[in-house]
Amino acid sequence: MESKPYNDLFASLEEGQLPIPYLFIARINRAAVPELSKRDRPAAVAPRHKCDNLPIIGPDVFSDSVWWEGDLAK
Amino acid sequence: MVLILSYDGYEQGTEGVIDWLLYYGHPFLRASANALLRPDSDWEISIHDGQVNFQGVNLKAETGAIYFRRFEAKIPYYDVGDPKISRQLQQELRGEAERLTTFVADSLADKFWLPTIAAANRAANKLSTLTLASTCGLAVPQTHICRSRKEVSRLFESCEEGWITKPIEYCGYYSRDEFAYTTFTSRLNSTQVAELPERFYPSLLQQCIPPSYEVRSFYLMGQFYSEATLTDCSTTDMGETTFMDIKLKTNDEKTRYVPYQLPRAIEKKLERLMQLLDLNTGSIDLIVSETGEYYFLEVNPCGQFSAPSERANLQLEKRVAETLIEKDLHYGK
Repeated sequence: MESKPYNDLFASLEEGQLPIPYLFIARINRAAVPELSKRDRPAAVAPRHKCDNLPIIGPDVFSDSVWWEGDLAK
Repeated sequence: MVLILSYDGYEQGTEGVIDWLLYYGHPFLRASANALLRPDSDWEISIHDGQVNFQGVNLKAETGAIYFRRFEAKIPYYDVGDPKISRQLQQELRGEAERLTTFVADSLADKFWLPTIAAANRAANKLSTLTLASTCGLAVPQTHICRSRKEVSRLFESCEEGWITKPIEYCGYYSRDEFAYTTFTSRLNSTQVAELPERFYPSLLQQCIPPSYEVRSFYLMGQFYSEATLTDCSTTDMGETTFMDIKLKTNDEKTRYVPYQLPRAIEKKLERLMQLLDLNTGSIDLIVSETGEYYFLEVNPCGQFSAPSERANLQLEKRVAETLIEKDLHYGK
């Protein structure tokens, strides 16, 4: 019989030590969760806006703007 | 200039708004709390005169409007060999970071915030918000905090539709190998209740409202932009557990998303709630029962709105950007 997902993570805890929702924790394939499969692709989690990929729509438009490049942009 | 306080990485509510700020050619600066903590980042902060500069920009002087998505740093956990010392160190680093981020936010308190951090934090407590919603005349599901099997059994005897359970705050994804683990809203059955531990950690139990459909409404400066989600069946079975969570229906081909107009009477009550919460924006979740009654579930001040915006053609990113520009011009120099 397949083990309860709870036991995969929390087998060392008594069931009463956690709130009830954790007893029914679900086990899903990462690839089936759009949010996570996206997270697994580094390019998808990088902020879209950094200095080297801005859409160029005019020479003066960005003159007053400053962009910070996050970790993932490096 | 619009100051955007957001995550380091991709954030759905940030990127689309920046698209529109670029389109309108309006100056902006994006910053994160993590950047504030990095030793090599370009922040200059002097407390005695309340100056905060970032990337050479004097934030107090240049900023008119602030778009707040998140301004909370990830606190490192340094494994120094003794878990007790590691935990204490992390707790103290968290204190340092919190005081610093709070100071930066406080120094910009006279700007226009969408929304303010204080209001966002207050509304993030689902329990307090439910009580407040009830005082505004909104229907809310019966909700209890239980600590024993006996209490849950008693609830089951009192309500035919049954009960659901979900975290009071939030449960993220736990990763192990190729799997992700998380909690969804679960509908309890009598067998599960009988198998509950006799006593347990305080847990939220909420009356199950079988939905006719669900509504996500984005509130912005007094206006509501809503989307209804219609599904073939509101439950999803996984093993012995029945989940009642709209998130699990996203990929179901029978799920339909349509633009929706809330009744004016409901909008008025929701507006009253947002005023009491001091929130000028937020994503509101509602269930419309099979008898047509609107039940308020929660409001997320920094909710994810890009999906409803696209599905129901609500153009929310554009509306947010236009609000920020208008307020920036009004509050800025």
